Amino acid sequence: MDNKKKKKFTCIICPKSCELKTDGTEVSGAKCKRGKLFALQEFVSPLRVITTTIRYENKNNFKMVPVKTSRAVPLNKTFEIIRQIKKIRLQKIPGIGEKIPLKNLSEKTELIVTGE
Amino acid sequence: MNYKKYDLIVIGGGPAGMAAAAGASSSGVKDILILERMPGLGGILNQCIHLGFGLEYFKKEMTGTEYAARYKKIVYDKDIEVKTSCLVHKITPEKNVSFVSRDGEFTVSAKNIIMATGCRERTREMLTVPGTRPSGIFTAGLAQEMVNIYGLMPGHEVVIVGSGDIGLIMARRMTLEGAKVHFVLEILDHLSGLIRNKVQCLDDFKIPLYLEHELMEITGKNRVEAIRYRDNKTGREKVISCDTVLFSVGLIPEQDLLIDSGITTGNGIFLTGNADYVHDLVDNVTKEAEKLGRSIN
Amino acid sequence: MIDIIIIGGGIVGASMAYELAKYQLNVTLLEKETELSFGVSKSNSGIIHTGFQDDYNSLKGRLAVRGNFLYREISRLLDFPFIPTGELVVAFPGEKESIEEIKENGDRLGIPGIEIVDGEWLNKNEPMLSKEIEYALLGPTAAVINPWEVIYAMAENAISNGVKIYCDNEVHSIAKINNFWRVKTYQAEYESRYVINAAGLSADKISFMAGIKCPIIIPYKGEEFILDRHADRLTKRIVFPVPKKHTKGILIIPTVDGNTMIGPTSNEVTDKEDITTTKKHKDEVLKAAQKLAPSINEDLLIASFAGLRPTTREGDFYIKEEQNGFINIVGIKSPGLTAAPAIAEYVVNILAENTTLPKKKKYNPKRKSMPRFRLLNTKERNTLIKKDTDFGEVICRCELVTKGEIKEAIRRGARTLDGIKFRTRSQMGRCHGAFCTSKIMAIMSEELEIPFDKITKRGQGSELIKRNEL
Ligand SMILES: Cc1cc2nc3c(=O)[nH]c(=O)nc-3n(C[C@H](O)[C@H](O)[C@H](O)COP(=O)(O)OP(=O)(O)OC[C@H]3O[C@@H](n4cnc5c(N)ncnc54)[C@H](O)[C@@H]3O)c2cc1C
Ligand SMILES: Cc1cc2nc3c(=O)[nH]c(=O)nc-3n(C[C@H](O)[C@H](O)[C@H](O)COP(=O)(O)OP(=O)(O)OC[C@H]3O[C@@H](n4cnc5c(N)ncnc54)[C@H](O)[C@@H]3O)c2cc1C
Ligand code: SF4
Repeated sequence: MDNKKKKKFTCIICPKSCELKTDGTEVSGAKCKRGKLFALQEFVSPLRVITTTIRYENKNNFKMVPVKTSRAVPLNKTFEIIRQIKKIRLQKIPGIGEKIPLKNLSEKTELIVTGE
Repeated sequence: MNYKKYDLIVIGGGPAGMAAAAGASSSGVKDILILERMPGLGGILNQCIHLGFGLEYFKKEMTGTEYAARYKKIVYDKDIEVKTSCLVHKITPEKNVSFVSRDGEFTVSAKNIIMATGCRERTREMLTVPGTRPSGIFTAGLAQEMVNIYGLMPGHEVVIVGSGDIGLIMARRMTLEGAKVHFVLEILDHLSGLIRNKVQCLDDFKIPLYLEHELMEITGKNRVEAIRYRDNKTGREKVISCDTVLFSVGLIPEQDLLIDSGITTGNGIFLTGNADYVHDLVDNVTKEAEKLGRSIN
Repeated sequence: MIDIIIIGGGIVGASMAYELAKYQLNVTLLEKETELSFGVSKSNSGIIHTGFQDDYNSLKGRLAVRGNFLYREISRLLDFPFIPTGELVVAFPGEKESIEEIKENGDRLGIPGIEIVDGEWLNKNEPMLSKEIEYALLGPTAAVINPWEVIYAMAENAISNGVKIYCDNEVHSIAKINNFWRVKTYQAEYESRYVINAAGLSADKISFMAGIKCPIIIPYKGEEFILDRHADRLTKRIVFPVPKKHTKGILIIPTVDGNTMIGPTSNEVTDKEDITTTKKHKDEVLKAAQKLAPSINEDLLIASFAGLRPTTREGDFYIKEEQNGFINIVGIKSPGLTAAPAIAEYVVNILAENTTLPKKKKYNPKRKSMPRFRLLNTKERNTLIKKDTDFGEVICRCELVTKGEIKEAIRRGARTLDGIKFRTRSQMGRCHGAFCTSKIMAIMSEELEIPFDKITKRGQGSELIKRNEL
């Protein structure tokens, strides 16, 4: 492993929390393949799924609808995406699994409703 | 209203209660009743909108809310009676269970009782910390409910006391909603929540975790204005201004129904899930509770 | 024109309102906080003393004994719990003489039933007390109450008899104009023939506002600590050490709600708003309480608070008609809670010296307490639920408080989370509001028609949340 380029990460894919080391090509410390992929991705650009809520409100009803991004997005885009999510106004309460489009983003992703 | 005698009454319809009932049903137990005080099943999962659930049990990374929805289906597909908005306030050694609902107060009896009442957050520190007692002091779980269920923002300038999972999750959640989370104080020399939560909730957002740091005082007349804290390694004290303090200093299994009536487990009375002991992972809760359910006859 | 303005809605102001409501008078009470009882009167030990610790020559001694007597009838009429626990002043080796002196003082005050009991009696009746205690003075007339409950009861009765009560009304100027007083608050202006100053810690300030000299108030802070229910039945009676110069010492108090409280400390402070608790005093209280009952330990503590006694250098209560209808009630430190109904009676007697005070022809002597779901039997509960299904929705699971009770508390004037807490006991149980706070806020928002960010813990500035819409 190229020691100069080496970076350390803690794997967050599963609760085992392996301590990973990588130089961008090789990975050590991973107990499984998903951990290896995680380290390689983390080395280039960390990706995360964002979870938050969208407000639904009308005269007699109110609900915070939980959502997640349909895929992992660059960590450094988190706040840009959150700002777009906050602009969404729901016309009705969506069902679990329904998709909500997200517009005007440098990253392509949509939202998936995660609650009933 | 007259109730028959049940083979099994499950108190609490969180993941543990649902799994216990489902387990019992699949092993042939007939008359099963779940009593849940909230309007729906799912327990604490309903306010966990973050990911990190289900990898073991459903082999899929899900949010708490997704996990709850998925398991609810399993329950509703079985022949299990579910009564929600029913708060159990008393059980007796004879296995009579009393609950309050909008229809009245009722007592039902069962051959077996499984207590799956979850846990509550510790507040002792929060209430005997020196200083004033203004508004702006919350348990992390209450703050989580306010944000995720009611859509309310408890504060803007936040300090989190204790490095339990709910505190870590809320550090990120409050940050995403626009708050400034200054740091997490932990009196011990190690993290008390899961490492992956520290990575994704603190490190990702550059929120410092101060180990071996103690909260010394809360100040502010009507609303929290500042806290004083001490680095126990050096003895040095510092003050930081903030408007909100969230406590994540441990969970206590909810066993008061037993304690209050002087009942112990055994003889057809069981504890499962967080009511038994605090679990980090819901997958383990589900597995243990299903197993317990299957062992009932 | 108003006949009498009462400034201050603590136990003294509320007792005044309750007492004056019996007469054909037009009475208004002004309180600066959002609700009554948010001053000194909410943060104390809740003891109705026998009176024997106060000098038989003092006004406070006499009024305490009388107050203790009056509470019995008032608690019955106004339907609030008055638990006659009795009290013990305990003597460690060498202290017997002190309790004999207290007994003598008590005898002179005419306090019924007091006697000195020995170690054997204590062993049998209060087994958790330290075995080093040799004797104790038993005062059977001592009792405990929930101070805020008494205040709300008195206020509700007074209102039903025509007294006007305005909260969020801070008096900032008082002037004599011809033969009446003009009292200005930041919200309104009032004129009245009499002013009764029952402003607790600010009573000196109020008196100076009217241009009248009176003793200066020095706040003495008292910190108290509440123990978990598991420690209930620690002692059946209130337990005092032999008193020190400025205070009755650190006590063990069985509260109305079944918890045990230990405290209070007593320290002069400069800031009339300093209600901080400190590590130093927590340790002091624990140590002193452990001396009385060795099984007390830090792990049992579940809550703490502090209050300020409005003390004067002179030491005794200062109650006096100053000039043309300005009545000062100043320096009402302990036993102020005990004495309050007697203070009110005393002030009415002062008024009666110069005016005739005909009683109301139509007077309602009663008040019904809030429904308490937890204390009802199944049949009563079901009757209540049938009438209003909100009584079937439990909001505070620790204390079994229902939505019906929260709504009733609001109907009776609760405007803050603390106000609801005091009236219903919600948020006071083991989880300290972690489970019920959001639910109560939702009910308040709906019933009071206010957005969530206007809901406060105890008035403006103590809003719970910062922003409504995420
Ligand atoms: C913030 C947070 C983050 C978490 N993160 C993760 C994670 O990333 N991954 C993971 O796997 N796990 C996580 N967990 C843990 C997991 O959610 C819990 O272990 C699990 O929910 C415990 O299930 P339970 O059924 O025992 O308790 P609960 O979910 O608390 O359910 C108890 C149920 O009993 C009901 N009840 C209680 N008393 C009564 C009564 N007297 N009458 C009627 N009903 C009653 C309650 O209303 C509730 O529905 C997290 C937990 C929290 C709080
Ligand atoms: C720690 C502690 C323990 C105690 N224990 C006991 C006990 O066990 N038994 C006992 O008998 N006594 C006890 N006392 C004493 C007792 O609490 C007091 O004597 C009593 O509460 C005083 O009542 P109050 O109505 O005079 O004052 P308060 O309750 O302070 O009422 C005065 C009111 O006036 C209001 N006010 C002030 N300024 C203005 C203004 N400008 N305009 C309008 N309103 C204004 C205030 O907001 C306040 O509500 C204790 C005191 C302390 C501090
Ligand atoms: S490397 Fe594999 S086993 Fe280790 S934490 Fe990551 S996902 Fe889990």
